[in-house]
Amino acid sequence: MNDLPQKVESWIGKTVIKENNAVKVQRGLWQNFCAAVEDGNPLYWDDEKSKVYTDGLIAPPAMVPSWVVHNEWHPNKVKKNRPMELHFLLKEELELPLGIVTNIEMKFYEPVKEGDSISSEQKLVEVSGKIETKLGPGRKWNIEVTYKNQRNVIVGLQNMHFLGYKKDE
Amino acid sequence: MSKINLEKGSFLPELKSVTSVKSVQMGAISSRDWSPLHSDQKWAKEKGNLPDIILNNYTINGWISKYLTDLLGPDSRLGSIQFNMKKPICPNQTMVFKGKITKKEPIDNYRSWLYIEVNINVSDEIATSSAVKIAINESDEERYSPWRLSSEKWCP
Repeated sequence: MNDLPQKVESWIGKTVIKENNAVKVQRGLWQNFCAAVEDGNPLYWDDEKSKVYTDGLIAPPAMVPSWVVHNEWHPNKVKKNRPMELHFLLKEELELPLGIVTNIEMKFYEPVKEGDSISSEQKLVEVSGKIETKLGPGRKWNIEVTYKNQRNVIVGLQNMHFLGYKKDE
Repeated sequence: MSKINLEKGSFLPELKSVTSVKSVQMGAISSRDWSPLHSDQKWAKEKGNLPDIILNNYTINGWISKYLTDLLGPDSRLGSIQFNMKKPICPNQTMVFKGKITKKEPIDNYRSWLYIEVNINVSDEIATSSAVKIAINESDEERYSPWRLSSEKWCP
């Protein structure tokens, strides 16, 4: 017997959240990230050398999900989704206030370049039944995210496994 | 082309790097991860029940990518990465990156996939384990770079 709330049940296998154009891809933003991880790959820094392989600079693949994250403040004061909004919605619907990422997989496709606008679609793949964990009672769930550029070409696929739980009462 | 041994079973040279408060915060903020777990030491300790702020997953991904492309060169192209964060990585810890090639398979006559296990050890324990699939150019010609594969032939 399925013990999931009807709303969550209706989300399984479907795209629940769409994000687009949170921030335009810019070399200054990705080079800050490269500096943080001490990555001097010329594809991210050197206009001339990058022409040999990628016809110009590209953004580091690890940043693909970053391009759909909104700033926390915006001059229009429009409420924006939280990063990985579907995960937060699940925590609320399942009344599991705490959550951790247990496993992440990313696949990289078309390189991301300066000026690109990245969009994403968050799809709920599955939700487990109730389980007991060391952290407390909870459930596991799996969210698949597809990232595309402004030409609707896939730039990355992300598969994230989460554990949502609450403290033992 | 790299001069390190790129056959199945080979171990890659290690990389060591010491984290700092600034580097953990910079990784999080520059990857647009606003969670205080990665930037606010008081919050991480008091509300996150953690020893300190922790490296976020995008920064871990960035470090693993840097470790491999530093060794294999800009001609190498990351296909996929799967990782498990087993223990948090905090400031003032020495990360030791270790890699082992577990499989090699041809893409075509000029390029191959390398399957590499990369672990980040902290205090002799595995903090993050990962499995990476990365394409390399086996020829001396730039036109056979994995970056030049058509989207139909690029199957990460």
